[in-house]
Amino acid sequence: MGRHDRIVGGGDTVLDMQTFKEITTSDHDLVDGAQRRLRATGLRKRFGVVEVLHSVDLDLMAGEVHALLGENGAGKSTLINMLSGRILPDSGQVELDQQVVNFNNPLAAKRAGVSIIAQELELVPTLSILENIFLGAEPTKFGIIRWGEAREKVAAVLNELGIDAEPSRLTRTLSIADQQLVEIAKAIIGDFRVLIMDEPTSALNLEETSRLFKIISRFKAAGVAILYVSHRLWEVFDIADRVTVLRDGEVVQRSLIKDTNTARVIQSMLGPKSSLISGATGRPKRSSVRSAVPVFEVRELNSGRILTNVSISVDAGEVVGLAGVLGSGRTELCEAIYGLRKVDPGTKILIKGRAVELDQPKKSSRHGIFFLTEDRKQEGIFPQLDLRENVVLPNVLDRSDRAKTNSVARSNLVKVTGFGVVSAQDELSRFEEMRRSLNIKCSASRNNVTQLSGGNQQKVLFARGRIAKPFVMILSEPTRGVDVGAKEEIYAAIDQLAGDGTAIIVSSSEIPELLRLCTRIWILRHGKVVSEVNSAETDEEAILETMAG
Amino acid sequence: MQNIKNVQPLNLERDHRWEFVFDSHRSGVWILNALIILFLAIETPNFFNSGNLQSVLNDASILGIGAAAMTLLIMAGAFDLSVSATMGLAPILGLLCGGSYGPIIILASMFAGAILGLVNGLIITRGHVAPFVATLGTLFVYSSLGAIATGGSALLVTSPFLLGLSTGAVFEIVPYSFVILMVAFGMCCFIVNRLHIGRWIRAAGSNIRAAHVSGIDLQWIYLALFTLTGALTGLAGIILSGYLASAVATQAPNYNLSAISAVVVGGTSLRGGEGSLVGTLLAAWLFAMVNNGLILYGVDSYWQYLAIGVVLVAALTLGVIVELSRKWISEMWSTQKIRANQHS
Amino acid sequence: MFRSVLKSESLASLIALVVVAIVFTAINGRFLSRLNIEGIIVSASISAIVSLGMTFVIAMRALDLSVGSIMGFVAVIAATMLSHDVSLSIVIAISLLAAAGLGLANALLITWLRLPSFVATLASFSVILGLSLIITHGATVTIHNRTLSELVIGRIYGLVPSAALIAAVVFGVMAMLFFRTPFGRHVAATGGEARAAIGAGVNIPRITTGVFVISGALAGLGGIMTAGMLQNADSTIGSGAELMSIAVVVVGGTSLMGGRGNLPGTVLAGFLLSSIKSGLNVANVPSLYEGLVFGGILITALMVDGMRRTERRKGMLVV
Repeated sequence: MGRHDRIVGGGDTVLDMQTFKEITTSDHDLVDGAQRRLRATGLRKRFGVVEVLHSVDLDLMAGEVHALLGENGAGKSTLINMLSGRILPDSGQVELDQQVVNFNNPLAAKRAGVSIIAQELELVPTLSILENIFLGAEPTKFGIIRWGEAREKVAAVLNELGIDAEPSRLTRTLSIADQQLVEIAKAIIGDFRVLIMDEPTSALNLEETSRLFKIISRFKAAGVAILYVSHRLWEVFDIADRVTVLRDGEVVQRSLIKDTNTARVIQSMLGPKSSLISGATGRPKRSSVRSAVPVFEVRELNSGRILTNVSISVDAGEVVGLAGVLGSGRTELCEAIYGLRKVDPGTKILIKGRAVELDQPKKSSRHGIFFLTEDRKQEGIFPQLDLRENVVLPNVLDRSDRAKTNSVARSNLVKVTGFGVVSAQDELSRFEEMRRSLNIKCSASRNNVTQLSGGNQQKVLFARGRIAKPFVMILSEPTRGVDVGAKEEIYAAIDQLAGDGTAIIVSSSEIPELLRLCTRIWILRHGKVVSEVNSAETDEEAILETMAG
Repeated sequence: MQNIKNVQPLNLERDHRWEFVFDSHRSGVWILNALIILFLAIETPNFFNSGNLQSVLNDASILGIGAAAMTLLIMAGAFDLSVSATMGLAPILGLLCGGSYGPIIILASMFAGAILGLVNGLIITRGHVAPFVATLGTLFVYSSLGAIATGGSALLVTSPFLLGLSTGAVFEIVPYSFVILMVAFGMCCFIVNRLHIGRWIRAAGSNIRAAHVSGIDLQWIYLALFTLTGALTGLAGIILSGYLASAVATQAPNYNLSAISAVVVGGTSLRGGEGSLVGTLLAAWLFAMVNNGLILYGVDSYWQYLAIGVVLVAALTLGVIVELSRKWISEMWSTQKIRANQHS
Repeated sequence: MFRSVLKSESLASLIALVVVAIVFTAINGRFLSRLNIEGIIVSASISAIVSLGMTFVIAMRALDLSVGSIMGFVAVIAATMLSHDVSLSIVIAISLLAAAGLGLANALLITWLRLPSFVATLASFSVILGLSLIITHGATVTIHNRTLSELVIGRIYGLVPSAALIAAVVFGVMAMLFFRTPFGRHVAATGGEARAAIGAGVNIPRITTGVFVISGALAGLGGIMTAGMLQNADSTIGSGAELMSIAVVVVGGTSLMGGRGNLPGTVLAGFLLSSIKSGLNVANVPSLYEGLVFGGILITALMVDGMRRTERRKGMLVV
C-alpha cells in the first residue's frame, strides 16, 4: 500500500506572472482521507489591525515530509504556533485523523500527538537532560519521580542522535548543537502522529544533520506526518516530499517537490521582489589587492585548548571568511579576537601594524572593531529600547576622531565617560539613512525591536555597526535565521561596506555564503588553521572536504 | 489590507519623553494621587495648611532625593539595599568630620555617602558579586558601622544653617529640601534623557550581555551610579538629620524598601531598561501624603503599616486595570475598523 | 544530583563551620559548652527552617519579603492562644494554617494581580506587620504554659534536641519535594527558564501558589518555634528575618537567578551563621558589631564564589 498509489501529481500547475502565485488544481480531493493525518482549514489570525494569516489551508499526509517555506513575516511561525497549541486561531479548524481538535495550550497538542521541535530552544539550563525531556510528564509512583525505565529510553534516543552525554548532565554544560539535539530528543520521545520541525538543523553540522535525516526516514516509514520548516532550501529539496509556500499570510504555492525547483520556490516566496535574487551563485565583487601592512592582523593566537597558533590577516576593503564545523574554533576565534574570550600571552593582535591589547569588548570597540553576534536575542538586541536607540548607540564606536589617533580613549574624555549630549534630531536622520539603505521594514522608529522579523533584527544590528564606521567588522553567522530576501540585502550591504574600506571577517557555517562574500577563506579544524584558500580558486566541495579532514 | 512592511518615509516624531504621562501602566500613581487628594480635601481639609503641606513636602523630598538616584540604578538593572544604612552613617560621618559649619557638613555627608556608594560599586564590579546580595551585605556592615561610630546613641545637630535648611521654606510652603529635590531630580533627568551615559544605562538594564558585547563600559556605569546613589542618599540623610536635629544610625530604617517601592509604584520596571523619574517623584509624594493623611485622620499608628501595604497594592493594581482596559478598548477599536474596512 | 550539589558549594560552608568552631572556642571555651551548643542548635534550626522555604522561592527566581512579618504574626497569635490555655496541638494547627493562608495571599497578589513578587511581598510585609501591631498594641505576650517550650527546646528521649529533629524532618520533606517530585522540578524549571516550563505545560500559577504557601507555612513554623524558645512574643519577632534568610540561602550556594536550589547548603549556612552569632556573643563582642561581621562574611563568601567562576568574561558583571 505505497502512498505513491494515492498521491497523484499535484494537478496542473500554472504560474501567474502578475501575482507570482502558483495556481494548482486542488490535490486535496485526490487523496484518500484515511491517509491524511492533519487537515487545517481556513485558519485566520489577526494581531491588532493586521491580519497575519488569511484563511490558510494545510494538509499533512502520513509518512510524508511536508516543507513549509516563506520569508520571515509570511506567517509560518503563526501557523506553527497554532498547530502546536501556543496560540489560538481567530477562525478555522484543525482536524487530526479526521477528528476536530481544539488545542488551547501546548500540553493539549502534545497529548493529542502533535510534537514540535521549536526553533528557539526551550530547555531549562539548570536541569538535566533527563529532567528536560520529561518536563511536565515525569514518570512517578505515588507522587515520587522514578526515572528507571525512562533513563534507558532516553539513553537510547541520545545514542541514536549521536549525543555523547549522560542523561543526568545539566543541559547548560552542553554545546549549542547538543542542546538542539536534546530539543529534538524531547520531541521524538513518546508517541506522536504529527511532528513539526522548525529550523531543526540550524546549529547542526553535516554529520548530525544526516543522522537526523535518517531518523526522519524512520518516522516516515512509521506513518508520521512531518511538517518541516527551514530556510535551507538545499535541505528541503533533499528531504521533503511536498512543499507549501506562504507569502504575506497566504498560500501561494502548493506542489510536490519533484514538480518544482529552487528558483520557482524562491519566486513564490518573494513575489514581485524576486528579481533581486542572484541565488548563492554570485561572487565577491572585489578582487583583493594586498597591501604591505594589513589593517588587521592576528599572530599566534592561542587560547587554552580551544585555539592553537592561529594567524589571520585582513586588508582594508577586503572580506575574508572563516570556515569550519561547529567545534572547529571558528566562533571561538571571533570571540577571542574581540575580547570575549581569554587569549594566552604571546598572542599578538595588530591594527595597522601597531600591537594592541583587546581583552574586553570595550577596548575592541574603542579601537574601531565591531562584532555582530550570532545570538542576536541574548547578545544583540535591547528589547526595551526603541529601534532608533538600538541602531544609534551613541559614541560607543565612532570613527570620526579615530582618523587622528587610532583610539577614542586618548582623544575625547567627555565622550568616553558618556557626558556627551544626545541629539534626537541628529540620531533620527542617521537612523533614517540606515533604514533606507538596508531596507529595514518597520512602521516607525519608535517600534519595539522584538516585533521585527529575524532578518530585520539582523539588519538593525548590522546598521548599528555600519553607522559607527568601524575599521574592522567581525560578522558571526550574519544570516542565521534570516530569510532569502533579507539575506541578499545584507550581502549587498556587506559588499558596500567593503567598498568603503572596512575590513570584514565573516564566520559562517554556510559555505555558499562564504564563497559569495569572501575573497580569501581560512579553514579551521580542531582549533587550528589548516588551510587558506582563494575563493576564486576553489568550490564548496573542496572546502567541505578540508573542513572534515 | 494593511501592510506593515511598506517602506514609507517617516515623520520626525515628537520628543517621546513626554509619553510617560499617558503611558497607562504608570497612570496608577496619578489616579491614586488624585483620588487621595480629593478625599483629603473633603475629609481633612487641614491637610492643606501651609505648615502641614510644608511638612509633607519635606518628607516627600527626603524620600524623593534618594529615590531619584535609585530610579536610575533600577533602570540600569541593579539595586541598592544599603541606602537605609547610608541614610544614617553618611550624616554621622559628615557631622563628625565637618565641624560645625553647615555647608561643609552637607558636603562632607555627601562625600561620605559617595564613598559608601563607591564601595558598593567596587564590590559589584571588581568583586564580581551580584548587586542584590552585595548591597545586602553592605547594609549589614554600614548599619553596624553607624551604630559603632556613635556608640549607639545620637549625635546632636547644632549648626543653625542646617537646622534652618531643613525646616525653612520658600513662600512659607515650599521647603528648601524640595528645592534641593528639584535640583537632584533635574540632574537625574538630564543624565538619563540627554546624555550618552543615559542611553548606556538603559541599554545595560535592558540586556546587560548585549551592552557588554557592544562595547559599553559597564564597570564605569555602575561605579558612577552607585556613587551617585550614595552621594544623594547622604544628602537626603543630612537633611533628615537637620529636621530631626539629630543623627543616629537607625534614623531611616525602611528607607531602602520605601525608595524601591516609590520607584516601582512610579512605573519603573524592576527588570530595567525603562522607567519614569516623574513617576518616582509622584510616588514619593503619594507615600508622604498617605502617611500624613493617616496621622491627620487620627488613625492609630499601628494601622499605618496596614495602610501603606494597601496603598502599594492599590497603586499597582490600578495600573494593571488601566492597562487591561486600554488593551480591551484597542481590541474593540480594531475590530470595528476591520468591520468598517470590510463593508467599504 | 543530590550528592553533586552537596559536594561543590557546601564544602566551603562546612570548612567555614569547622574553622568558626575552632576560632571561637579558642577565644572562649564556653563556646563549646552544652548550654551554648543547645542554644545554637535551636536558633540554627529555626533559621534553617525558614531559609528552606526561602530556598524554594529563590529557586523559582522570586523573593518573599514577608517571611519575617509572618514569623512575628504567627508567634503572636500562638502566644495569645497559649495564654488562653488552648491545647498545644490546636495552637500549632491553627498557626500553621494561618501561616499557609498568608502565603496563599501572597500567591494571589502575584498570580491574580500580576505583581512582581518583590512588590507583592513587600506590601504584604507591611500589612502583616500592621496586623501584628494591632493585635498586640505594641505589647509583649508572655507565655506561661510550658508545653510549647518543652517541645522546642527539649530533647527527645533525652538525646536528640527536638528543634534539630524538627529541622531534620522539614529538610527531609523539602529535599524530597524539591529533587524528587514533579512539583519540585517544575519549580526549578520555572525559575530557570519560564518559557520552557510554559511550553512543557507547567501550570505556573499553581507552582507559584505552592511555593509561597510553603514559604509562608515554614515561616509560621519558625515563628511558633521562636515563641516557644523565648516564652514570649511581640511584633518584633522575625524583624529582619527575610533579609537574613536570603543571605543564608545565597551563602548556602543557591543562585538568585533561579533554576537551582542547594537545600543542604542552606541548612549548613543557617548553622554557620547562627554559630557565628553565638560566637560573637560568647566572645563578648558588643551586638553593635554583629552586622559588621555578618556583612563581611556574606560579602567575602560571595567574592570567593565569584572568583571560582571561570567562564566569566572580562568587564562583565554578575547577574
